[in-house]
Amino acid sequence: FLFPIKMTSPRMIKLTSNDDKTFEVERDVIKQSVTVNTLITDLNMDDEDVSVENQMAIPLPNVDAATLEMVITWCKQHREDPPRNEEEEEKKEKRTDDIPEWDKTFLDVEQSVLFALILAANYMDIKGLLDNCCKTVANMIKGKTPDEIRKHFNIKNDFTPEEEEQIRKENAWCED
Amino acid sequence: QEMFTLLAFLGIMEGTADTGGSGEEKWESMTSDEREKGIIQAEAVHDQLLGELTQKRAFRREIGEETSFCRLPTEILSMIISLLPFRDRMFSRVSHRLREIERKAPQLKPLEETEYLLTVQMGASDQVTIRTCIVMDEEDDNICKFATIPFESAISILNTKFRTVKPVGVSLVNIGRLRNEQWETLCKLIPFITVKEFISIHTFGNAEAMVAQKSFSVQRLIEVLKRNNNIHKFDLTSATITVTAEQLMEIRRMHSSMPNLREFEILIESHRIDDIVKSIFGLDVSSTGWITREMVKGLQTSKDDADILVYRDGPHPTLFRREMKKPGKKGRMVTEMVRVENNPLTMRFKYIINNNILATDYHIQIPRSPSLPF
Repeated sequence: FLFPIKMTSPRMIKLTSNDDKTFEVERDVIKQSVTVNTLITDLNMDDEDVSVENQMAIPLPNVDAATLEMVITWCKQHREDPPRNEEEEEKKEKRTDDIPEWDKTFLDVEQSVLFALILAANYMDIKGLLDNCCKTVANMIKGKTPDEIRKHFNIKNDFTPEEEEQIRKENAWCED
Repeated sequence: QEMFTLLAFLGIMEGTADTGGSGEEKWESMTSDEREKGIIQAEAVHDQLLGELTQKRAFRREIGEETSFCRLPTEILSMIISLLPFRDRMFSRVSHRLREIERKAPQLKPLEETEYLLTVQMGASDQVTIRTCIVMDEEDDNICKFATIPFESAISILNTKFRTVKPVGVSLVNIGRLRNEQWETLCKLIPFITVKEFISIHTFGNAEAMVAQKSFSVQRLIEVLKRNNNIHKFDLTSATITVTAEQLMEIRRMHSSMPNLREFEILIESHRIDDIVKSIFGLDVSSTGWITREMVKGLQTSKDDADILVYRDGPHPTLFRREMKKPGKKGRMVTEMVRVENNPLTMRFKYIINNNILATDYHIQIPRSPSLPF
């Protein structure tokens, strides 16, 4: 007997950014976002009877379109990644030199873009992206003096000279 | 910039009261005076545009782009801080908010299944840094966790968590900075910290304060250490000033009753090495192969940035040498270690070299104590 093979197109999910742009993304891709995944389940959006046209778009009020596009690109790249075991991740030693090459290039962006990605990854609960973004920022900080850190991130020095002296004294033990 | 000038110029051209046509045609139809005037005007417009753009960029930088680092939520900044090795944890010196975040981000990982060393390092102002260092590679700060917490919290952690978690080693650093009552608390606790391998006590700290506050400290230390059979390393670095000859001899005797003690560390002046070895350990340098000044001279290296060098020099003991260049400091700290095959005790000498010339000039951090018997 020959059975007809039913060709199913991938399940699509609609996401709307805070500037009202709607993106269609494969269900399998966006499952990396715990927030979106939970919403899909909670709202029963996995119902195959509902076509994508009639489907409600998931609003992401904390993410703008440009950032959401990047998040989707990252998720597409990492769709084949094995699911994270958070317990295992917790146990792993924390390093910053293990960012995959693709991510390194992908995250080589202006600070504002990187920070927007961090906020989006945090909001959408995409651990892998958040980890690699934080590692990228940590690498920017490594080896810099407090002054260099301030300059790099344009942070205002709000210490008085007396406070600075006090802090210097407090830290003297690790410099000796 | 050229594009701006061109756009500005074309803008002026388009803006001139005329009969239409492209900028190019107009340019062709202009006299040289008109062209020159136009260029000057265009340059002024260009400068103005460029100025506005620069201002906008600066404004953007000020309100948005760069300061967005500070707008990252505390939990994210805390996460970033926890990824940084200790030497890169400069946040406490950057701004008030980051200082607060760093203080609250101890990120002490549950280490139930991990072997680690525990270091309790006294800082100023009653702050204690607890460092847990995974044993795999204790030189790698990346796998160390740090937490700076008040002394009482550290004691509470030692009392609860680390009594059950069983660190392979405990190292107490800078205890010279402990106040008497804190020292008492710690002394009560030390024998009960279960260690698998070694415990070391670094008395590094304010040596003068130690003398003033804790004249009993070394004696007490000896008592405490005797109650813990797992001591493999005893470090009296910087405490030499407070150690009397009798106490030193007591420590010397103690080592025979402490089978696990393998390492003993004190800081002494280099030109006294031979005398000390002879006085304290009764060893004749020339016959045992202990390090001599002449040997140290021979170790001078031209590699200023050398990190770790290991020497195996014929019949002499294996010498381990580690140099650390501290950022912002002129000198280097050089640690020499000598292993003597036939002696169960290993003695380590530490030198602070201020001028990078190892051979001719030693500057020792702690002055020679008049209480030492040499």
